[in-house]
Amino acid sequence: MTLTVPLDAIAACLRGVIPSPFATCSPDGIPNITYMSIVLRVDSDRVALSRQFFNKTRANLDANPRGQVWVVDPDTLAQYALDLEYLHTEAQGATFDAMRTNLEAVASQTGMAGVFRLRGVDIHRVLGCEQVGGPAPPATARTERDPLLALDELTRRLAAAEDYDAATQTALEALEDVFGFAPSILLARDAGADRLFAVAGNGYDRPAAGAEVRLGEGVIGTAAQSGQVVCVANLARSRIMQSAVRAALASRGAPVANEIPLPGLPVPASVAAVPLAAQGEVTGVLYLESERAGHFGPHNERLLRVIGRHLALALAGLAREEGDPGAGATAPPTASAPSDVAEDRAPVCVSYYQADDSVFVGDRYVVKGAPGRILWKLLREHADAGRAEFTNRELRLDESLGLPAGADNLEARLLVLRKRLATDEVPIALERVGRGRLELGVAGPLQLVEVPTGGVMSAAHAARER
Amino acid sequence: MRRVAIDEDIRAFLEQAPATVVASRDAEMRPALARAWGLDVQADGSELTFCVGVPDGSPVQENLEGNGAIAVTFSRPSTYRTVQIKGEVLALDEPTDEQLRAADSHADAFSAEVLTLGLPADAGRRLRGEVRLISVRMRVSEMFDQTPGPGAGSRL
Repeated sequence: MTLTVPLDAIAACLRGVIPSPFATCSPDGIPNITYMSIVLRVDSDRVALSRQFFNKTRANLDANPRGQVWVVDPDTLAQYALDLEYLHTEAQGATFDAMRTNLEAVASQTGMAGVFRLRGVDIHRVLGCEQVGGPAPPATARTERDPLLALDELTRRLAAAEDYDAATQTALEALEDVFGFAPSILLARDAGADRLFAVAGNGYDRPAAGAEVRLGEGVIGTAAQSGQVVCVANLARSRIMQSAVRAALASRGAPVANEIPLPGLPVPASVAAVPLAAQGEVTGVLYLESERAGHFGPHNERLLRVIGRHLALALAGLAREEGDPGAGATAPPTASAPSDVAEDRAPVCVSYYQADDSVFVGDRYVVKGAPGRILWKLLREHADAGRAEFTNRELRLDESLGLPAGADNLEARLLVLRKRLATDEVPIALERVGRGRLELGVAGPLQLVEVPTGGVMSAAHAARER
Repeated sequence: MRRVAIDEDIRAFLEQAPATVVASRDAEMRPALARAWGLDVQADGSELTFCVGVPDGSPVQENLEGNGAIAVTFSRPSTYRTVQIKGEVLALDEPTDEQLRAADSHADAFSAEVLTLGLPADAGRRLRGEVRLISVRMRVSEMFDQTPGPGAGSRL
């Protein structure tokens, strides 16, 4: 059947920016209206609506499958009436998974995990699709580039990146230049600790490196755990809706969790979290924000999936190369000449806390976790043996660092460490001096203090790290 | 049958320019939607009058004339508070000038309400569109709280 207005022509209405009123009718002739957060296009003549709270709608559809939903273009506010016929409900499959992941991610972000349970998605045939009223005001010009051209440019730039560090920055900059996706944060997965940590950011006032997100928490953690792209077309609206539910729950005395802050813009209008999947594993998340509602949604999920997979493979390849750099990097580590350290300069006091592997330079916190352990090892060897040059390979093989074998994400951790040292303006520098090689520079004689931890803190720490 | 009436709380809510959508149905139980503007609650709360947009080709006027079944949902975008009122049509008329002015005011107040949600400054007028309005007076038979959450669908 050919629709007067094809569903492809109203893709902007199907992003979930503006809620859609949905009318059904009971067999005894009483109409009913509910609001749908999103109407998803399934194919050229079918759409999917979520089943959540509203029992009346379900009862009506079971008895009388006819319905009508209005969708609104968020740019022009043109409205389209879709006459529907309910076909069946799906509680598994691609459409269900996509909708569930998005709902759960937003719920988790707003501290409402477990409250929004998607019972199923109702699949409807679209019998008619007409614009309501006269012609709409002229649409805001949408100049969407051919995605293949854009992908060509993104992958060309990534292919030219020489190492992991450059690739992370190139990727984020290209996403902004080519797709207009900014600001953005790239997070790597810390396999040993069920969390993700930011390795690069683009478009923010403050550096993103080092920010952490727990696996399964919020849109980023949900994307990492589920391996699915999470897009929130209109975060403000999602927040309002969840606040309404929160208030209803609180008034009944039910416990409600706090909202989880997002790592980027104070109030993003639309966000996307794209899992980076390679070799069957999620290795990180590309997190994108926009100040424009509807910037991310079902219309660009496929593109984001492709970007995520390509980025994951590119970064995995570069990480492997740096771990196995060939003859050049296997030269024996060199000891720095004693004259490198000027004894008359102010001492650099560094404290290391075993409790969480945090490192402080003076009273300034620098880094914790695995990057903290790495920094402490480098500093100790620098102080004890005068070493300044290190290889990725020796760090990877050093069991005392406790990096998980085979999934250590060493390059990502080193990147975080280098950025933290650079941005915190501490008198310690860590530079890449070739593929798989690092040089440590300290602007004065080192004074190292290790603060041991025992008892409860140590046990808690060990449990958390697992 | 218990008497259902719009109380002070809901009356105040309806004055906050909520998005208002009407559902009608034809003889074959096929529902059809329309937007409504300019809400006026009768003093005792048992009746409600508003303007309904009926674009060319819309079956809504014919439906309302034919069987009188009507549901109206009021939803405030800034809070998601949502109320649905069901009942029957008592009268369909040409709107008075005062009703048309009230419809304009409602659209403008709605625009102000959704401005913070990133919609255009004339969102209300655009949603109303340049369509013919009819005046609908309805009797209130049932009221439901449809604010999202565990209480959604409960009778008021």
